[in-house]
Amino acid sequence: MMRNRKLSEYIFYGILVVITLIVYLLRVSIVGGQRELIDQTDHENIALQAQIDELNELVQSYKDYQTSHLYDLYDIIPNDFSAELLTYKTVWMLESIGINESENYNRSVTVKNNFNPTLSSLADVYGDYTIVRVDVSFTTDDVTQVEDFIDILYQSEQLFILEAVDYTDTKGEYLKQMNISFLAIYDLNKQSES
Amino acid sequence: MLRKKHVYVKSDRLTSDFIYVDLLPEVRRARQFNVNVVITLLYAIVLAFFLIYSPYRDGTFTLEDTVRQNNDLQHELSLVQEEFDGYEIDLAAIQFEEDITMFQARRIDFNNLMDDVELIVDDHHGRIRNVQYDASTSMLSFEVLMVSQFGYNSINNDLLILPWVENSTFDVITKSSDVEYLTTFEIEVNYDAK
Repeated sequence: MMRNRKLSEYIFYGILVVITLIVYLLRVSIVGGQRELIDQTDHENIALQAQIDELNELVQSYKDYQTSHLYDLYDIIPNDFSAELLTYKTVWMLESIGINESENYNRSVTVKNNFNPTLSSLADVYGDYTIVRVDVSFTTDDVTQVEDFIDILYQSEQLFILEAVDYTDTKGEYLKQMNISFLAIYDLNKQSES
Repeated sequence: MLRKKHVYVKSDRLTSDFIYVDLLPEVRRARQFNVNVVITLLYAIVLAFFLIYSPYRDGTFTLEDTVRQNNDLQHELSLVQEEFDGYEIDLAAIQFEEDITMFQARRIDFNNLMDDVELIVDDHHGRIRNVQYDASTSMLSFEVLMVSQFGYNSINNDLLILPWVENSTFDVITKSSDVEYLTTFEIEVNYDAK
């Protein structure tokens, strides 16, 4: 009799444990699922708020900002590159200061489109832009032609950045090569996007 | 089943004995079973109330608030987006323009810098012969010829005053010809100078 009573008590406590377990599992699935949904919505709200703040900031910063048209900007940094075109442009600049094909000038123009920009002065800022280096070399009896060429580069509509210069005042003689290197910047990513 | 109660009493007179047999069932066990069921049910209900219902109800309120907030934010986002679209802000063009400005800041007006140098050298009756500039190292170097070797220090001091000169040094002075001395100045260019 005592044994039966003990057994019944064990069954009773066992049922309590099973009920506790079932209730706990239900809690995990029901309340846990709900908590998850709340957390998910909370995160979504935070992201939405950040997006609103960012958009608001952009609106406040740029609502009165007048941007140039893209085609104006592409005159400064073109979105298509042609080594031939760049060579012609450089030659045209040289011709405009009197450096022609004459043997006296010993003119040469080299476009390096596989140039590594990390070795240039734009190493820390070039980002996704393509940097092309142009090496110009000629002899002259007048050092002001070098200065004139540098001036044309500086005032050119397309952005050219002087990278290296090496010239010597030869005092009226065609003795030494004058070397000028400059960088041209291209936004070739925009070409693929458009 | 519990064992029934049996009572056996022997008579004093030796003529008859008394036997008592309890045929009624044991009721205590049945009552104990019902109490356990009630306790179990109550336990399950109380446990479910505190572990499931109560947090689920609180969670429902929280979820409603969060979802309401989410709807408000989505509405606000659509309004800000409309405002943003209304101003026709072209972020790509703005970024492109900012990049161009950044590149332009890297461009130096080389001739302008050389004008500063030439003015100082001319003031000390010197003459510039070879000029070298490397943008990747921000170094500008030039050879100066002078009749007197004592003017180089003055030139260097004057160069150091220039706002775009970060640092200026010159090499050992050597004799270039019978009447002229020669040294090379090295200037570290500060691009950020206004």
